[in-house]
Amino acid sequence: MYTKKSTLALILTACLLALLLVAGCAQNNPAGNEAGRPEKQGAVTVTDFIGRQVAVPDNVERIGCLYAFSGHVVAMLGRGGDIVAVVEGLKRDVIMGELCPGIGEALVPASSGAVNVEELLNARPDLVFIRSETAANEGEKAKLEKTGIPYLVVDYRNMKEQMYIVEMIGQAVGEKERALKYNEYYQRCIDRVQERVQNIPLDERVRIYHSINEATRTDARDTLPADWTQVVGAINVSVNEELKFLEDKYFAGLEQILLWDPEVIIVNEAGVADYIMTNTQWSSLSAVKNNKVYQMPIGISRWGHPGSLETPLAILWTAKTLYPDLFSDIDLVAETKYFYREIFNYPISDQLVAQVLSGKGMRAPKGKAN
Amino acid sequence: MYAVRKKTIYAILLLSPLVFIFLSLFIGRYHVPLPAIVEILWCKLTLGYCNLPDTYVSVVWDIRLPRAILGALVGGCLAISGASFQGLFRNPLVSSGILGVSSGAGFGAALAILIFSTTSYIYVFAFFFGGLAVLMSYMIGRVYNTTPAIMLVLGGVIVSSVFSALISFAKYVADPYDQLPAIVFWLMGSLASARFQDIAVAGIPMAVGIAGLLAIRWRINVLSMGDKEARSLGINTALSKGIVISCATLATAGAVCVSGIIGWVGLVIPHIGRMLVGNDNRVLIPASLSLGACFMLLVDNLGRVITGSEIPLGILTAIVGGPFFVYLLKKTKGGGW
Repeated sequence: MYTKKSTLALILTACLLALLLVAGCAQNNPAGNEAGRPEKQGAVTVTDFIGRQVAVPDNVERIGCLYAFSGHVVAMLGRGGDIVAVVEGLKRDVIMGELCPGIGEALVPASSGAVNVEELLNARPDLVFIRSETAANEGEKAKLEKTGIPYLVVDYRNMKEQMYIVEMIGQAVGEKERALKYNEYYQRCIDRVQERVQNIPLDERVRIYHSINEATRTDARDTLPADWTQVVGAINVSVNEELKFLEDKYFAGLEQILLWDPEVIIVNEAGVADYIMTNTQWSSLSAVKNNKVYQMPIGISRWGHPGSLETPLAILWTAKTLYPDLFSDIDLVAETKYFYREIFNYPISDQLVAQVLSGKGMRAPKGKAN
Repeated sequence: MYAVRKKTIYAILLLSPLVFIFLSLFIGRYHVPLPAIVEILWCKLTLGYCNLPDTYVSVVWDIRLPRAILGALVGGCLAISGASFQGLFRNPLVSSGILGVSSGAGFGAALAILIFSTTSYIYVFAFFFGGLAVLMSYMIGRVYNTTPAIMLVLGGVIVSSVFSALISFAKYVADPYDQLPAIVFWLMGSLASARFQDIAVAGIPMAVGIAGLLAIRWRINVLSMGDKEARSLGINTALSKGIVISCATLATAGAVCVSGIIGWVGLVIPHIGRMLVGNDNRVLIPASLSLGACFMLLVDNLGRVITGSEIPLGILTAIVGGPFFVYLLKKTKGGGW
């Protein structure tokens, strides 16, 4: 009886082992196909946001973008077709769908900062971009390091860092020239606006409130929007104020907003402007009374959003909106066309330009991801 | 003499939330002169015209007042349903939070956001899953008959953690751009942007729940004597229990829909009520309603005063409620009443 039992156990164990082996092989197979994986020699060394020096193979062919911003940059640099792993949100941008036809099939190995390493391995990327929240977590970092896939941390707190990160991504995917072209345009937009607004005396500068996605979500100090709104010669009322911090986002209180009484409100989400204009709680604001609540354009991302690549366009748009007389010669339609056509190499139609500038319908409806 | 005392108690119960609502109008970041606040109230209530800056009127009438009213309603609902559950289950350790109603309602709401884009089904789903959670807790509590009070709490713990897990799952599968923010926003809940329209929508389930519980509060007294006794007094126990559970769940679901899951109020307030007015549910139920409203307004105002940026309600109620629950456990020794 005893022997019978142990034999059974033995057989079962053997079966289990066999199963494990088969499963292991199945996992190994894709790796086996990677014979053509680039060798380390000839690699470029780049420094990422948290100062890590990473050797990146010089012929990156499969790219993982686990931070939406990095996906936008890779697409801008003309490598959208090589994106093999994304975060869910990237699949829903209308323009992204056209720039990266294969994005619908890309795997989604990350959700709210946590990476599913096995799914990432299935995508077989040569290089992965992650957000700094992920890198701040030791466990996530250790997991990524075990895969052996080089990863770069993408983040920024102001325009200078944003430009650096774009350059870094360009360097890593071998498209540094195009990245520099973007940065050059970026800097030119800053300069064009700066030189005209710098003479505006402090008391004549327009006080603005920037609503991000939700009416009361806004900009805190040391964020990209705090930096670019300052460049356009605006006084951003919420920067340097005490804000409510919830789940990575900053919120202002209604009474705070009334207290600030901004002259102009710019919002980046369709529908929020209507909400503000029709809500009695906001009705006593000067911006509402004077009909100065503006919807910002939405292209690949919401212009001016903390995670947006279209900061240079947001600068031009906001400068023109706040100081129409100073910037009467700036043609937003032409700038928009130039930006997407020359820097993205994306033949944007006139109709789509109008749609971008109106900020409506730029995200695929739910369930209709590209 | 007794009648006079009773009248005084009811008068205090009715007046104190009103006083607290009135006082809430004076607290906030925006400075409105005190006489202006009174003037605004007066001219708004008499439907006259306020000869004051728009901003003052907005702050007092459109921001602070709806927030205070909704806060009072939420606190009242949580407390009254807690008192009813405690009476019904003859168990001092339960409340809608402990029995899983809040998590169930939260999950129902998240599910409604996932399935339908519109928010109109939220209340229906919140109510349904809240009710389901109580029933499940109750059934688990009956598995083991020796220590019913603890078992019911345990059942509630199980059910609410399952529903919390389901909430996390719903968040996980939600679309990160539209649905997830909606769910998070909704579960976090906040009175901060409360408007009169919100009172009109969320006030209905809350008002119905409160009215129902107030109307049958004497039956809770009878039910709390036990099924056999209640039946011998000619009460249809199944029906009465059903009504009490439905009303309490409705009130809780309404509250959760407004301000997210706020723990502990429903547990602590009825006990404070018992210390003040005694065990008789006929007085305890309205007392809990009133105390809950006052407590929530107090906590909300504290949260606004302590720091410039508001402290979420749930944090403060848990800091007060957690230790109090331990005290209750010690006092009741985990047994019955």
